[in-house]
Amino acid sequence: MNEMPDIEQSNQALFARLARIADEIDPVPRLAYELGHAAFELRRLDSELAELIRDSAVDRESLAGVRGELNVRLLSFEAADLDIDLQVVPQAGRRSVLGQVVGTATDVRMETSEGIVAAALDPHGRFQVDDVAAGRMRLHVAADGGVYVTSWVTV
Amino acid sequence: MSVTELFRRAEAGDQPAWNAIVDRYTKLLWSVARAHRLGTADAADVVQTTWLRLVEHFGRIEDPERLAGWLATTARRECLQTLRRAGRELVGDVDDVVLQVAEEGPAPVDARLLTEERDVALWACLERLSARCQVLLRALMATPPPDYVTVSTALDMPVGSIGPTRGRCLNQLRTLATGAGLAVGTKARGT
Repeated sequence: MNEMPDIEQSNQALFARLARIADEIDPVPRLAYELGHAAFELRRLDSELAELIRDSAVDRESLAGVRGELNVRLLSFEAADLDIDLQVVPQAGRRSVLGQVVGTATDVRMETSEGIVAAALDPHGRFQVDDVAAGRMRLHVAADGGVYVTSWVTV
Repeated sequence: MSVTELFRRAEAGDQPAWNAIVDRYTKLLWSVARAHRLGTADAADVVQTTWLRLVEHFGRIEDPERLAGWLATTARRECLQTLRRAGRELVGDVDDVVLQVAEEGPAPVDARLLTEERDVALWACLERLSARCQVLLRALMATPPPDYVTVSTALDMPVGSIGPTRGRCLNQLRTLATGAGLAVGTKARGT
């Protein structure tokens, strides 16, 4: 009967058929390619990445402390000589962001789908931005050590 | 051009090289998102976020030759976060994720787009498979086909289990298809 090779052969034929059907019924939208191409324009030019290292919406352990009635999300970013902690709270369909820069920041700007706004820094490196659009967000931080930009986060 | 060369050029500011990378791997990312049963809008968002992540990691990717794996892993992570944000409490691995969101998965197939009704019927059989099978088969459907290491990273499955699981899933599909009166015989069809 030669069953073994037949099975693998027919598996491959079946799989090829499935892949073809997937191409027909679920093609990648053109927009996905266009947004991918456009992502290039958002690359860092002269800034360092402050990478997302903790996110209470992902990291269960860090949730323990804040889980409860309050719908607070904690985010931490880290760069060589700068740490940024954010507390994000929903606010009537939008977001309120309370932040703290540990390091010597001189300027903080928040970028969202609606543009870039400057945040007022207090002497302890704290800042607050209200009425933030839900969606993708990142911070641009100028500090003594250089200019930093955080990872994008969806808030 | 090798992916490493494309990537190095993109890092140096070459938009056409970047576009070539996007064109080569967007389908893989789409498959990973669909494998996690995300709807069209969420899947598109995951794909875009993954490209933004790669852009922000310019200068930090040590081995661009393994870019497909990096992209697939990043996409998977974004998928899981999307599911979490949607308020779906997750426990355990991707199987649970998929089982819990299966009812809200992609919109039903628009049969008019298909050339063959039998294809629709076969696809309906696929959608009756276990979550694990659907996830795996969907991820393997990307073109160019991802290697097992990339799929293993993307789905957090042991590399060694991918081949055998694929075989079992296809057998189950064949059983369902036969039950539905579809000819998907055990013999390879002539091409």
